[in-house]
Amino acid sequence: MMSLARAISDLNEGLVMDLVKHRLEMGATPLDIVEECRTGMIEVGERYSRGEYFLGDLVLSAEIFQGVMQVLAPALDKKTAPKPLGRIVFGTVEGDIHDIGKNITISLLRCHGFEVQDLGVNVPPDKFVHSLNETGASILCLSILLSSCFEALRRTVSLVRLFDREKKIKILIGGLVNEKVREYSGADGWVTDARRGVTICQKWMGVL
Amino acid sequence: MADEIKQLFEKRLGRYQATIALEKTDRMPIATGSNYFAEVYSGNTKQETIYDSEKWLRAEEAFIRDFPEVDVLRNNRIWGPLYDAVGCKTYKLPGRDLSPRTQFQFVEDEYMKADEYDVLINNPLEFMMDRLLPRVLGELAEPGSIRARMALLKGGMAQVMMSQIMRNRSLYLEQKLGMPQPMTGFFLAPFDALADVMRGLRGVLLDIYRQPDKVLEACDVLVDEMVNLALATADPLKRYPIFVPTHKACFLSPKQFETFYWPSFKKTMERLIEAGYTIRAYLEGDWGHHLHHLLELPRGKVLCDIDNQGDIFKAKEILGNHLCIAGGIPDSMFILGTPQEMRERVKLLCETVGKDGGFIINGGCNIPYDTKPENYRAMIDAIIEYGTYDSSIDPKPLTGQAEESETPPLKMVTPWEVKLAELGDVQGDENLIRKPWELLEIMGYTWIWQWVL
Repeated sequence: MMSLARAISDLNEGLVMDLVKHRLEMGATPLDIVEECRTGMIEVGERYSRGEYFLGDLVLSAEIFQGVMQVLAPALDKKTAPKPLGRIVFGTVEGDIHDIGKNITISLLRCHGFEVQDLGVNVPPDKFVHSLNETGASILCLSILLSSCFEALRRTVSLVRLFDREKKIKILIGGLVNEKVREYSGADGWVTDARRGVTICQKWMGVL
Repeated sequence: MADEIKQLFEKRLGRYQATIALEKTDRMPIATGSNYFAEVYSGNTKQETIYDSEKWLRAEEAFIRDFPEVDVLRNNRIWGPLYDAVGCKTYKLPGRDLSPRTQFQFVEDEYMKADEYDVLINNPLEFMMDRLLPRVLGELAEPGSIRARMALLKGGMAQVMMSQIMRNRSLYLEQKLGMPQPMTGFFLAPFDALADVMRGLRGVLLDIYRQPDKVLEACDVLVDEMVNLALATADPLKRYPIFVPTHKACFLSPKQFETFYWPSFKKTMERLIEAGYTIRAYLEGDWGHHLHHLLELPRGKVLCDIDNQGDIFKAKEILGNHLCIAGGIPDSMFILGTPQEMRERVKLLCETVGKDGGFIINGGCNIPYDTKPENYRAMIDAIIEYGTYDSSIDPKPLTGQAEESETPPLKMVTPWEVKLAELGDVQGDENLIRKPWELLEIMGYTWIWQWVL
C-alpha cells in the first residue's frame, strides 16, 4: 500500500483520509500518524522549491493536513509530543489583513517541528511583544503585503527591540518585502517564499 | 481656456491610447491605473476618499496642479455609503472597520457552498438573488423582511447617487482639468468571480480537485455575466479601457491555469475586444508562467500591469511587441527610495523595456499611498527626460474601429417585450416608455452582479 506520507505529498486527499482511518484501526498511535503526515508535508515543500508545485498546492496541502489533525486531535496526547525545534510568534502587521502567505508558512513551519503561536492579522505591535514574553519564543515572523504598512512593520520591530535589548529574538519579515524594506524595518531577515522562510528559521535555531 | 483644456485632454488621451495600441507617440505616458498617492496627496484620510467625494476631488485637483505631466487619473472607487446601505461584508473600509488612515481591504469568505454549483450553473440570476446576495450583503440577510426590502431600496438609490457623483467627477476631470480616465467599467475573469466572493481561494482549490467539471461549467456560465457587467459599466464612447483585476491566477500551476482560468477569461476578453473596447488587466502576483497565453489575444488591445512579484524584463521579452505593459518600479522605492535611485531605475527602464514604446512606467499595479512626493517628482522628470520618443508628434485620440463595432444588447430580468405583452398595447409613443424601462432594467441587473467584485 502507498504510504501516508506519499499520499500527502501527492495531494491525494481521499487516499490520505482512508489511510489515516486504516492506520488508526491497525493500532498506530496518533503521534506516529502525525509524524508521517509531516514527512509528506515536508516533501510538498520540497516539490514547491523545485518548481513542481505552486502556491495553490501549498494551500491545498495545508487543508489536507488540517483535516487529518481534526480527526486525530481528540486522541493526541500533548504530553508525549516531541520537544519543539523552537518557538515562533507569527502574525500579519497592524493595518494589514492578508493571511494566505502567513498561513502557508505557519503550516510548513509546524511540519518542520516548530511550535508557532499564530496571532492572526492586523496585529498591533504591543500584542507581538506580549506574546513573545508569554511564550518565550526566540523568533518573530511578521507578514506584510501592503506597502502602506511599512510604517507599522518598522514600529513593531522597534518596539520588540526596545524590550529585547540583548537582541535575543530574531525577526523575519515575509510577503511583499525586499532588502530595502528589511533595512528600513530593522528586521534580521526577509523572504518572499514560505519554504525559504523555514530554512532561515532552521538556520537561526542552529539545525542547518 | 475651454479650448486649451480640450486640447490638453486630447493630447493626454491620444498619448495613452497610442501607447496601448503600440503606435508611435511623443512620449511615454504617465498613466497609472490606481494612483493611491494622488488620493491622499493633499493630506486627506483614506476614509475621506470613499466617504467625502468633494474632498477626494479637491485632493486630486491639488495633485494635478503639482504634477501636471500626469496623463490619466482614476474615477470610480468604492463609495462608502452604498456599501453601508446594503451592509456589504466583502470589504473592510477605512473609518468604518479600520482606522481612517488604513487602506480598504477585501475580506474573503466562503459565501457559496460547495454543493451549490448546479444552482449557479442552471440559473445564475436566481443564485445571485436568493443565495449569494443575502449572504454577502448583511442588510439582506433575512429576505422578505422589512429591513431587507428597505436595504434593496436604499441600495438602488445609493447606486444612483454614486453614479451621479462619479459622472460629475469624470466630467470635472475632463472639462476643467483636461484629465482622461485610465479605465472605465470593470469585470472579473470568470474564475476569479467564482473564487473571490463566491467560493474563496480555499474553496475553489478544493473544488478543482473534488469537482473540476463543475468549476469549468460555472466559469463558462460566468463568461456571459462578466461580459454583460463590463459592457454595462464601460465608457459608452469607448475611449477608455475596461478594468479587470486578476486575483487567483498567481496561485495556479500552469496546468491549472490553462484548464480552469484561461479559457473563460480569454473568451470574455475576446468578446469585449470584438465590441470595440480595450482592456486594462492587473496581472496581480507573479504571472511569469502564464504570460505567454496573452499572445492569443489581438495585438494592442490589452494593457497588462505587471505586479511587483513579476519580472518586467521577462514580461517585455514574452509579450514583446504584441501588448503594452506597465510596471517596473518596486512599490518600496516610491516609499523608501531616494530621487537618485528613482531616476536611475526610470533611465534603465526607458533604455530597455520602454525604448520602442508600448510601455508605461508604474509601481506594481499602483502608486502607493505612502509615496514620497520627491520620488514621484523624480519619476516624472526622468520619464520626460528619458521617455520622450519624438516631440514632433502631436498625439490625438484614436478614431475608427471602436466606433464602428456595435455594443451587444445588455441583460435584463423583464425585457420590454414581456412588459409590452402584459400591457397589451400602449396608446402613445412606445419608445418614450420603452427606453427608460430598459435603462432601469439594465441598471438593476448590473447592480446585482457588481457585488461579485
